Amino acid sequence: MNIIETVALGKNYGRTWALRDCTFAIPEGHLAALVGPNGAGKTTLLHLLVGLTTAAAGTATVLGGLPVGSRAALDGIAFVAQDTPVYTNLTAANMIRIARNLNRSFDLAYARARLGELDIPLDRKAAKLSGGMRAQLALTLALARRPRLLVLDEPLAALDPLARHDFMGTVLAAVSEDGVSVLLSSHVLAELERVADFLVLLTRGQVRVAAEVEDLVRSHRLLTGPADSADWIAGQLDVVQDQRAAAQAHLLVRAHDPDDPVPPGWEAHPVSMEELVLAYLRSGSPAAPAPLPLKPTASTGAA
Amino acid sequence: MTALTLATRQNNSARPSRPLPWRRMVLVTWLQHQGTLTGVAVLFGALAIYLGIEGLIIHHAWTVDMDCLPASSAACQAKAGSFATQWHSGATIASPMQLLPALLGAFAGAPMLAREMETGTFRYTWTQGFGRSRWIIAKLALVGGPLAVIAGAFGILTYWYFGPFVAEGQLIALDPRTFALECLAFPGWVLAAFAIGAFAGMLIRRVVPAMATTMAVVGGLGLAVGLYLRHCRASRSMATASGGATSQPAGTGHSRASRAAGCSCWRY
Repeated sequence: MNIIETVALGKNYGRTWALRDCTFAIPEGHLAALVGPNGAGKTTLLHLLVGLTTAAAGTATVLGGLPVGSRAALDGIAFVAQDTPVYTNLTAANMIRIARNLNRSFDLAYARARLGELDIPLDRKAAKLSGGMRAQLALTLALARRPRLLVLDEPLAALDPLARHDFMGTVLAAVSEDGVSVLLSSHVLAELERVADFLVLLTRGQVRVAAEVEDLVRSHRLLTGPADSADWIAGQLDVVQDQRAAAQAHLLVRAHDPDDPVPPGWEAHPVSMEELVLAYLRSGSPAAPAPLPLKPTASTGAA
Repeated sequence: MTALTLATRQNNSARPSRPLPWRRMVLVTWLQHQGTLTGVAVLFGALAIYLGIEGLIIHHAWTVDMDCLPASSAACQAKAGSFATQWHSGATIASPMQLLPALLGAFAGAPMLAREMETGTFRYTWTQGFGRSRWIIAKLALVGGPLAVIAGAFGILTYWYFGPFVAEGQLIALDPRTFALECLAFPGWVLAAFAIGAFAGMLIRRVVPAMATTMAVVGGLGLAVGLYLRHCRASRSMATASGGATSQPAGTGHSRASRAAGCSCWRY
């Protein structure tokens, strides 16, 4: 069953298209990462999926065929928006009361136990909680609904490394204990590489990649060889990123078969998810995958 | 925890199609808007106490006047004159109270949706199981409803309070100063201002600009209606002067009986 499925999904704001012709599917049970540069349309896509905006073109269904924004879809999806908004003038206890009343199911015991573990006092107003605590409160309120799909928009952006780790710990616990599917947009590639097993890559409003991380890593490799035969190789293969130095060329290629023979004189290296993401982010629009000038591939760091 | 988890998961997969009951919004609205609702109650409570005490005194003085017989005697004329002098300023409270609808629209109506938009909490609230349209309807009804009831009661109070001034000729029927404060006109204005505030908040998406806009729009409407009433009165008095044999003279001609006819209440 596909937890998310879109067909030719599009959304415009005036004359600019924030999303165009997005067709992809995420099967149930994944922790999917949605990555892309700023302005690629990540938030628009997430808002469409949770029913906060309506599509201008195409269709999107969730939880195995439910129309987005429908009552059953709202019941089964929990959304934690960017900057994890909570009512800052209310206490955690009152936020729980509100969440209970606004939802068909709400696991009060879980919410209380979780906030207890996190040392978040129930009687303190959210305005007086730290950023990390507020994010954890928002996440707890979302998970206590026992959703089938948890959608998170840049939840890590405002958090320090420790809070990030704790936040992702809570998400991972929910995935393993409850089997909830997750779609998470983030810039923190290093963090995603550790947790995500499905990747959706968005640039300029279009989906470039939507596949399981394992398959992606297996089907891509970095070929290193003499620059003079690089053009010939590039013509033969599906090149994602083409980096040339004076004598040597590095081609990140998408192989149709992982066991393709390596051209003579060339070496093949496996690629990490982060290298892959960076390569796709650098390589521009899918219509014209123009190779960009060489930059050393960073082994760490965020986009 | 596993058992608990399993139980709720089963509930979830049953996916009942009936919407969540409306009553769930009562507590939600109260938790979020208790400040507004309490503020409105306190404001009107204080005004009602003031108008109530003052009104009783005025009514007493007026009753003494009315009971003076024969009405045309010099002593009674002097008494009536002294009522007018003594309560000369009694009706001036009407002027600041003109601001009430605009204030309520700005402080109760405008932040309802603007605050959600400004702080981003709409992205939380509108993705909950209750659904956003129903959430908005419930919120507006649960804040606007009590507001209308309080304003309705207040309209009856002001109608009673201003009665003697109309009877004594210090205020006239359709007086722009009191028209908007009495009976159904007042809750009407309050609800309209509340709706204008909520709508402005939705469009402008920021609290303070939405409040300012609400004040300007409601104030402008109030002025326009005031001018219209003045115009009405002018044309009416011209009509009366030309052919009205049955018209009552302004002032003492209004009897207590006609006012007691009830709060259907326009003094035409």
